[in-house]
Amino acid sequence: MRNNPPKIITYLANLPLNLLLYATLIVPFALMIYLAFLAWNPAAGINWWEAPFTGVNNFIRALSDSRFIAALGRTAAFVVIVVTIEFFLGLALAYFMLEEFKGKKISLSLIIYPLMLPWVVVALIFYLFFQDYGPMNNVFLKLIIGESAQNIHWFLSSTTAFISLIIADVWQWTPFIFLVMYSGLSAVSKRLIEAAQVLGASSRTIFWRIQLPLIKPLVLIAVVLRALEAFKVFDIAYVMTGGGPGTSTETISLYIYRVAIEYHDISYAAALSLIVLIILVIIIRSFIWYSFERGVKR
Amino acid sequence: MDKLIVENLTKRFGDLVAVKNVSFNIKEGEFFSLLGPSGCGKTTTLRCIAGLETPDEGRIIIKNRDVTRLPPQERGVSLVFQEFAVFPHMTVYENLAFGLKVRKTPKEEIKKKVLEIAETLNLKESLGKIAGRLGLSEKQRIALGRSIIVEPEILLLDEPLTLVDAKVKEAMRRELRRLQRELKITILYVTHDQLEAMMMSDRIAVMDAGRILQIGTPTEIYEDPKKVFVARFIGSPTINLLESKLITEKDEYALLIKDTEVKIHIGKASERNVLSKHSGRELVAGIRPEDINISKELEPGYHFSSTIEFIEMMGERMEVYLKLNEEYIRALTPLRTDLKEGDRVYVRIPLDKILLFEAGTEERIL
Amino acid sequence: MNHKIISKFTRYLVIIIFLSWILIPVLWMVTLAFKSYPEWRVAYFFPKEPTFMNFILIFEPKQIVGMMGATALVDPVTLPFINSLLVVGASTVLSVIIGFFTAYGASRYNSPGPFSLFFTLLTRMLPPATFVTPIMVYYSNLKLLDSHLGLIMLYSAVTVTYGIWILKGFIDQVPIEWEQAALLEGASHLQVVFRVTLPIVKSGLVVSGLFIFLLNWAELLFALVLTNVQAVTLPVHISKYVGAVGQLYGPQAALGILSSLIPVIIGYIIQKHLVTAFTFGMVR
Repeated sequence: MRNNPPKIITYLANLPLNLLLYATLIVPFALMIYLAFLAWNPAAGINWWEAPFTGVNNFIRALSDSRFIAALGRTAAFVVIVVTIEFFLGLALAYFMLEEFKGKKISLSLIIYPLMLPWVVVALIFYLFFQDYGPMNNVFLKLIIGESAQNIHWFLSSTTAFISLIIADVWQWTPFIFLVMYSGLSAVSKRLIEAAQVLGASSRTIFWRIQLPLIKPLVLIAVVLRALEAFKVFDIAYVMTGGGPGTSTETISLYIYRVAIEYHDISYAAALSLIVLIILVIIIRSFIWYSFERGVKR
Repeated sequence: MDKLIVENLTKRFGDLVAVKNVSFNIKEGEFFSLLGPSGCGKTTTLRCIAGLETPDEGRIIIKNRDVTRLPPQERGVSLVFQEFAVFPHMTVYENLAFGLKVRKTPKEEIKKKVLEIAETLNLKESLGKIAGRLGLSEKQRIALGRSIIVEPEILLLDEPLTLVDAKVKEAMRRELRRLQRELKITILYVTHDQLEAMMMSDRIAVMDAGRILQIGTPTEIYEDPKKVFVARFIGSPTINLLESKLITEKDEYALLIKDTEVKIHIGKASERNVLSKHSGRELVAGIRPEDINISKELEPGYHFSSTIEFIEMMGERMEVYLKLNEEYIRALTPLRTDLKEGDRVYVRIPLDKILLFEAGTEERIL
Repeated sequence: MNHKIISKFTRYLVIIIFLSWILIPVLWMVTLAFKSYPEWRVAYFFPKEPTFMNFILIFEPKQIVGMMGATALVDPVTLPFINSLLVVGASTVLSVIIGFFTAYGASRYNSPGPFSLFFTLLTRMLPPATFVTPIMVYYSNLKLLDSHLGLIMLYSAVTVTYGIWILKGFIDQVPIEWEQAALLEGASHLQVVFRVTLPIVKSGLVVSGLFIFLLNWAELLFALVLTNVQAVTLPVHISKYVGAVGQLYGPQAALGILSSLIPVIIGYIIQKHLVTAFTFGMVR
């Protein structure tokens, strides 16, 4: 029965999906490949099918576009920093939440809330938060450095602006890593923990040698997913810093968006998009091959 | 010397009292079993001894140390779980070495001990393999090995053979017994399988509904059960229990089996004065199937006659179902060709094999 | 027997610190929303004279005087809010429906196969910015720019993969014997799907629906590019608001609260549903 689906099921299971995907995504994607090879200026009033072919010029231009490369590097750095911080914070939090205590249920609900909020709202929250007289300056800095701390104009210096983005992302997404780890750790069979206890292991040993290793595959998936999402970062850059000061917090998504919408350089945007897509697909594929290979070996 | 002393152990779960005032001692080097049906509290008792549950009342003393309030890590016991609970992500070697590593034993010594125990348990070839991938039998040996290697004061086992194949069970039982004698380990073994407990233990504590009913050697429990439950639980096939009344006829005591005319004379009044206060009362008579004599000829001294309802062949023995009123009595005899279903036979029971219990309290009187 | 790993004190300390870290930024926005103009630039949290002024402001088209006399005309939030409800609602329903059927085929018959399923995952793994450009051109030619339909289609396409994955998980748990029994009793395949499988995975539908709704509600980039006046969604409106009237913090905060209401409610419902979803998986 498995391999002989009745016709109606095949239709229902495949047709709507394919229709949707082709109509909205696949056709434009094909279009993008074509667009990338054009020198098209829509402001001149011509349509894309009338625009002159320009070969690989757009791609060559991309390779020497320092702003593009900077955006790529910056986004990559952002991903690495943010995922690392979230990983350790999420892990630490899971460690502390693992046992029963009063108010655990409420704490759990509260911890998860940042995940529910739309990115724009988070961007807004932190936009307000990092204002000159906002709590970041007036509460936290004073807590950490002391009364004499000067107000930092967070959005006016490239380093602090970048940090503000990091803080916003960590604030919103640490709960995600926490959730994955917490679920995984809680699911570890009680018997295993009891067995380790009777053998003399302290709770710390149990955490590091039994529980953590057992959730490794889960954690890996969570980290990869988070990294992919982090790479897309747009909303906070757009709303909080606008890519600035200058272009110092311009992420790759923001740059491509600018090229297409603000500079109307559609073909170039298409070329940039393709380059980024290819890089990503290569990374994803090599990751999948890598993890499958290890799976088979073991 | 007493290795383990359990005193007045009581454990409640909400309204349910799982363990009621349980007390027993285990001597050094003894193989001691807690035997009872599911839910009788034996596993809970074990877990209290291990430290995985906190008792509400009572004390647990291991080798003269009161460990009642100590965490499992500090008690000096090892526990083999029913589900084995080997660490699936570690190799067999790492599993075995775990307890020693936790005790910060030097690497060299760990290696030596692991190799030793692997040799004894036939795990040497599997040392490098991932434990999660192995079969039940290996997992059980791993669980056993890692528990023994830390040289615990007591080795606790929670129904370790339940998940094992019937054929393998027998080998494992012998293996366990041999290991225990060889390594001189003190063992507390929990099981619901009375055959298992009888075969392996030095002493058995029979439990039901949270209480210990009787403690004794297998022979004692078999021949001298103090309660109906114990008599019924031990022995296969199950003992015959007949409701009867103690009457006097002439100057002899006899058991009048309920709803029948059958009277079993059990001796002169003068010789059996312990029965005097039960005269006229209801008793339960226990007769083991293997103690019943069946004869096709009328022999003097027979107690009653009956018809064979049913015969069940069991290899070199037969189980014969004899009709008594509405009930059956089961008898176990070696293979005989002269008995057929429907035959009229004469039954005799050796008097010293009759176990008498008071009907209400189920206490043994004779 | 539960042993305290860490002293109670440390645990409570850590958790309280983390919870404050979670709550303070939100608290700031919430209190700001109730502050009137003079209090927009103060450093303390709770307004001395709380007011609902900001909430009213965001609904009115007005010339708003900014801080240095700069004025900005900002649209009321009513249209974007309604647009968001419409577009996100419709695309969620579409994603769930298509997701359900696809998941059913994938679960019971491997059709579509794992490769296609992985392909749908890609729609989520790749940054929207990398494929919004041609969509813009494409929609422009199809006259779908600034249209509800255009957005609905795109949103559905991008989130259907979640519908598929979540529902497949649920459908996998339904014992196939039940369907086979129904078939033997003469039900058609379609009837089996609707009468047997569908009712059982109801909570899966809810969970995936709520989850997809949350995602689409937050979507900014596509809407930014593809809408202008008519189909403007809430996230776009917020971003415009911050840009256009950069210093009007009160109304911005009010906007933030308004847009968070629905996600917060949904978050609460999801949490409750997750419990049933998990126990369903285990009891089965």
